[in-house]
Amino acid sequence: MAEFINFYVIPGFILGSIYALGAIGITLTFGILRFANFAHGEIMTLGVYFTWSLIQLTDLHPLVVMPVAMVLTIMVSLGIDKMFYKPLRAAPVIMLVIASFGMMLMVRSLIQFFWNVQLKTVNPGISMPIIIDDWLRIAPKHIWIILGAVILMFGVHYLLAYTKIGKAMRAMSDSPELARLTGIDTEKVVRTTWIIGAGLACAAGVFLAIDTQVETQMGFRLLLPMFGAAILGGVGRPYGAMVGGLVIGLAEELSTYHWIGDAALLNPSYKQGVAFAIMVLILLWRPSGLFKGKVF
Amino acid sequence: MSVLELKSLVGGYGDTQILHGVFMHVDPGEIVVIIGPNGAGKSTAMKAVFGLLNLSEGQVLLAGDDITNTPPEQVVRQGICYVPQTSNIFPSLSVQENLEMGAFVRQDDYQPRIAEIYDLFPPLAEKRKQAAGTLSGGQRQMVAMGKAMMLEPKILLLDEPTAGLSPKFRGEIFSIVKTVHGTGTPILMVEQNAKQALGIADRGYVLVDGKNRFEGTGEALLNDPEVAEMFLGGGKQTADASIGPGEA
Amino acid sequence: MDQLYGYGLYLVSLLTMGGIFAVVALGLNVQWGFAGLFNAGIAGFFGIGAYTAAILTTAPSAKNLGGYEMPYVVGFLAAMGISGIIAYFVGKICLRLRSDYLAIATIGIAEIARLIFKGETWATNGPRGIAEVPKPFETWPEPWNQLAFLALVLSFVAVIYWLVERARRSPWGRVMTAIRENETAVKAAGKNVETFRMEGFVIGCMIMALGGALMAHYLKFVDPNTADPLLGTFLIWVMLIVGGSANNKGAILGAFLIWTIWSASEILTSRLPAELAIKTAYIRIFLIGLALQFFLQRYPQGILPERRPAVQGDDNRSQKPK
Repeated sequence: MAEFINFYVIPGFILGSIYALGAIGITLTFGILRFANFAHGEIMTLGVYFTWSLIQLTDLHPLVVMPVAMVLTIMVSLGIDKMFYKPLRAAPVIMLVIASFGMMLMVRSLIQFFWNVQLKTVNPGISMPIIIDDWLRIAPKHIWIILGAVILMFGVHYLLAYTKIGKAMRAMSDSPELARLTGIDTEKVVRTTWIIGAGLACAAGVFLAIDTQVETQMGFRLLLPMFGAAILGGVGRPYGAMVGGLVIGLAEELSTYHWIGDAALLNPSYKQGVAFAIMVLILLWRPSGLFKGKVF
Repeated sequence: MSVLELKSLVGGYGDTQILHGVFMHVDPGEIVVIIGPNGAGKSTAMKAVFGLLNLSEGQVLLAGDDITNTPPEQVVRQGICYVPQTSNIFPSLSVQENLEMGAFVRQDDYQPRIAEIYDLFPPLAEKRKQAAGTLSGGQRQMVAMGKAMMLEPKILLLDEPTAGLSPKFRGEIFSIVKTVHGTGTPILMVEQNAKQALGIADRGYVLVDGKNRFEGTGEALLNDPEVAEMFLGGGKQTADASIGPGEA
Repeated sequence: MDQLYGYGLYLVSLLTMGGIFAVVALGLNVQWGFAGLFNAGIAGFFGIGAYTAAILTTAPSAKNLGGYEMPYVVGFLAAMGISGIIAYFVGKICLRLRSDYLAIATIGIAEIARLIFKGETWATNGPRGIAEVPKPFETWPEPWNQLAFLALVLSFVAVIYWLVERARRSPWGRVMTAIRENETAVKAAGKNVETFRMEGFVIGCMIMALGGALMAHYLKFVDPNTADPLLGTFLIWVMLIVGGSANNKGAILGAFLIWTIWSASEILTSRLPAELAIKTAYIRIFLIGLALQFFLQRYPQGILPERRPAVQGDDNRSQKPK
């Protein structure tokens, strides 16, 4: 039992909160700008590399420099929107999907150019896990990650439920046309969407980097689980994305538990397939997702 | 001076010209109805006011100011609110949030206005926390119009508020329109149900093929045999048709 | 003279690879140009084709599944068949939804295909890949073997071009165009839009797999990088968008053009010092991406814009024998 919780459930929650943070940006962009943003994973990677560089410069803890990295990531994201997505807003949405697909490779190649492909780490050193009641082991970095994710998710909740711009985001996700007719400043809503999406993507990336390592494909690896989480939760439903992220993170970790016999149920190298399988099932069974999102 | 004046509007979507010279005006406190056969350009004329299509000729004047081809987000700020025919509420937002969004461009405290809207439509007050998408058809129209009224517009444009509703609900909608009008807001409305609409209207316009065909007071149009024949289901029936929102 | 011979061989290899990409780009044109479908997993279907052909046609080996030594034709047909079946299931799930979902699902399929190529060592020899895939005409003397293979690839391009062009001009192709223009109207006319999309998607994926099979024979080798999910897919997209969506000649032109730029710039940068050469490789990807964005914004029609078959009604009448 201890093994199950320590090595499967807790890592599942960690991974799940990282997916959840990333998926919020995907689902908001999908709902408000109406396109599946393939570059979201690379924005996440970019945030991690900003963090890494800031640590090299300042020698501070990753979570301390993270806010600065978030600001940098947000600025890049807004720049990309202005240069590459905004000119295509009047075009069929699928053009935006293609543009974001191209952007995915462009951002990645720039990361590889500036930071090269060697593995890096942002981990401030190994720390002993905290042992509770003689069996529950949890690493301090995991406590930080979960705490950070919870704070950010409450922040998103506050914004969407209580602020004018947050409500306008939900309104535009419901109907962009009516939002415009109502006089909602749609460009401001779009900017806010990028700010939240990029900020959370950076945070999710840094959490993943603290948990594992820094490498140029880390964001891309998260793309499928994040899309899966967004679709599972319902497109345009940020709370759905949070739940979807947790479900997929847990499912991925639990799929490798030795449920039957001694061998892992699923070969860990196929973990990524779990998100895909969940996505396929939800598309078959209920394309609007758990929280009744949009179906385009 | 008229609240809204349309002068010789010519325009359409892309290469398709729909309006070929439309004239119209709405005076303070009026309900004006646009009727006409399908494809006559009724909704298009209204969309032209709201900057939703490009006019190649003509002028739109709001209280004397030229607002021709102003984009919708600006038109709203100038004091025209428009309730589209379909998807005219934000279904996942609560009733209260829909009203708040209606006031998006307001910088001042709009809470008193929300209270006024609830006074106008008491059923909404009870359901203020409920998602607007879960309300009945009539209540959705209350939300849609209440949301449009949040800006205390100089004029309200309604695009076929009764489209697709059964006769019973139509009556409900027309009484909502009358309620809104009772606050003194002038209304320009496109309607398919010519008889009922003319019954509550001060004046009406009949558009055919993108041009004015007839105009007059609601009553005059109802009694015009030619109009009756064209749009009111044949002249014979009109004579004994009882008219007005009371019908439903 | 030797140098000239070397350039000649390079030109042959350039044209051969360009031709293989032209096949794949024609497949994508059926999906995107005709049916308006976004396939983000081209590399996956390409890889499925390459592995299927390799496994079926190679000599026995202890390292991987295979050793069936089947004729090439069987390999080609099986590659197309398997890819088509997988495409059918993906289409079944996603085609009723908007193209974004198809994009997500296809990128997922490509990722999973790559995991399988890498992970199922018993069948694919894992990351080391399958070697000694037979190559048509390989027993012929140099350079005739290369030239003959080029001729084979180019004849594949020609035949597929001819078939796809015919399809585009046929009533089927016109319905496809109509669906992109006004889906509602086509539905109202009683056509089953989903079936048409499915046909476009499956046929496109089969053509892509054929391209993969050709590549396996040409390189005599497949490994999981044959199906690099991003770069492969991305290059094909750039080829089609730059060449001209919905124009089959544009797809072919784009394939040769982009491949020439890609390959020539690789040769140029490979002369740089090693560290710089690696860095410039990333810049090449970035610049190709920038070219894609430029075309999307400024010339979404590409170099050779779509040319519509004559207006339906008139055309029908003039073609029908009286």
